[in-house]
Amino acid sequence: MFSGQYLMAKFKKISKSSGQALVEMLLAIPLLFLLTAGAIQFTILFQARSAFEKACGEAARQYAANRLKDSAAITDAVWKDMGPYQSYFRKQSLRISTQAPQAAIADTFFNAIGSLGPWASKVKSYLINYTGQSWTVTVNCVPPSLVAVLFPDGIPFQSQLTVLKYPS
Amino acid sequence: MIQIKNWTKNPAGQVLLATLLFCFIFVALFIGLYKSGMLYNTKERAIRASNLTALSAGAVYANGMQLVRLTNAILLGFAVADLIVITTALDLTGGLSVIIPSNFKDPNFRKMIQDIQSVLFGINRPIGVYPLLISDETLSVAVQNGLRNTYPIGNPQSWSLPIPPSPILLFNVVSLASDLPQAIIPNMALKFRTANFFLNAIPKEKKYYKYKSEESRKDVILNSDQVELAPNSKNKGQMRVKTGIGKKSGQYVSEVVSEGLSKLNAIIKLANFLASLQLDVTDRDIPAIHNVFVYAGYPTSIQGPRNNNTEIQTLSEVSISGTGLAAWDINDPPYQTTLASTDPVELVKQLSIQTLLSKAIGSIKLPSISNVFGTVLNGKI
Repeated sequence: MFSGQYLMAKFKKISKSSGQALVEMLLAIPLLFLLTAGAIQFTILFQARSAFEKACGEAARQYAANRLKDSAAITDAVWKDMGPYQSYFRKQSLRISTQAPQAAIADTFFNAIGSLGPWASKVKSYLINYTGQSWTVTVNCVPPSLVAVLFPDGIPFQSQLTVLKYPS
Repeated sequence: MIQIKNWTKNPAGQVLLATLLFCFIFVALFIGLYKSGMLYNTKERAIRASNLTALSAGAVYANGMQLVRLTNAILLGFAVADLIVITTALDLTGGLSVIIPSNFKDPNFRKMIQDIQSVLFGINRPIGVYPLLISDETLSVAVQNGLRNTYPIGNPQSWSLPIPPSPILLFNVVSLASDLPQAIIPNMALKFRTANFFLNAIPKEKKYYKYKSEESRKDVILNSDQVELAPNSKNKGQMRVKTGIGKKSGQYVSEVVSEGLSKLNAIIKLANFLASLQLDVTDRDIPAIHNVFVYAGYPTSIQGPRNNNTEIQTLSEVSISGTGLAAWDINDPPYQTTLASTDPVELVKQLSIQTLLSKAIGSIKLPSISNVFGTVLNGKI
């Protein structure tokens, strides 16, 4: 009953099937962990994007309320409003480019007034006192470690917004 | 098929199947995370776009209010000249019972400025130049902020209005249920103040008539509702008791003349005269309501059930407030723009407006916009 051949055959059978689940678990758990961590970091990336958009919107509202005068102040306001998500961005990469907002009919009307002469332009600038800007805000996001494999230089985020204000 | 079936019974095959299943689950999870993240960001951008568009409308509106103050200040000079002429022409010796000459005409030097104000701000007119400017600037900002625009940029003659249009601007809404048609047309909620602004209601002139009763030998007094003009009378303007009033129908009556009644009627005449004098521009509503609603759609990349791109509907409100529009307010601080907060009370109001708008837009069959533009271009408005 306990002959060598019998034992060998039994051992061979046991060695084929025992420990299989453990091995599978050891292989799968790190992979599952990596995937879960990737999902969490993916979510954090979207939260950072949302914080960036909110910061741009808040800075635009402050501009409309005449609390911010120039691009430097707007840049500082955007950076400050990002709050705890500042660690996900590079401050040196925060850029704001501005241009005058476009309004087809209004611009045509005002250009027509301006063509009447310098006095008409002066009168127009006295009467029409609202101003505005179109901004393009860009910043590079420092991605989480897993995502950084795909984006070593950072992920560029861009936001475009336009607002008019009436100076107080 | 049998090979696949046998292969699935193989441990290696089972492991591979389980791996494929988990990969599928995680791919679905990541796609879901990506789409929900994108939609969340799109929602934030939509709210931001709507708020910035409303703030821009408020800025242009506030500039318009300052223009009203300026034109009122110019009007004041002309109004003073008119006032001098008027007071010189009227007989003020009786105090409030002013005697207005029958050939009196208001010199109306201020009419030129009032006409400019009427055209510029759309007072007593269907629409004005400045409210159109507010609309145009707001629509331009809305497009640049990413809100969906359905208005024509090309030839307006060959375009029909889709339902729902976007963005919709609502001006000076008090109660949307009653004000919706008025709110859609750009306006600044202004009117001309009249000289009787201190009177709430002007009574009609009081006239009394009398005849002597034969039975009691006393005067019977009747009011103007109980008498009528006697036809075929020798005396022009002879009044008689109305047919059907008591036993004395047809009885001739004479007008009651008393000093007190004459004074009262003179005051009423003065009040009516003052009501005919248009002065400066003032707020249409009491208390003054100046607000702009921006109701628009922000397109998303998410496809709907009918393979069309869905959009996020947004609603923002901005109110414009200040100390007044009179000429003496010209040096006061300019009108301020305030974005409505999202507290629960405001949210309920905004939701009710959204519901009313959706119902109104769904139930109205709008005409082709080319008909409207054709009417405007032909000078019928």
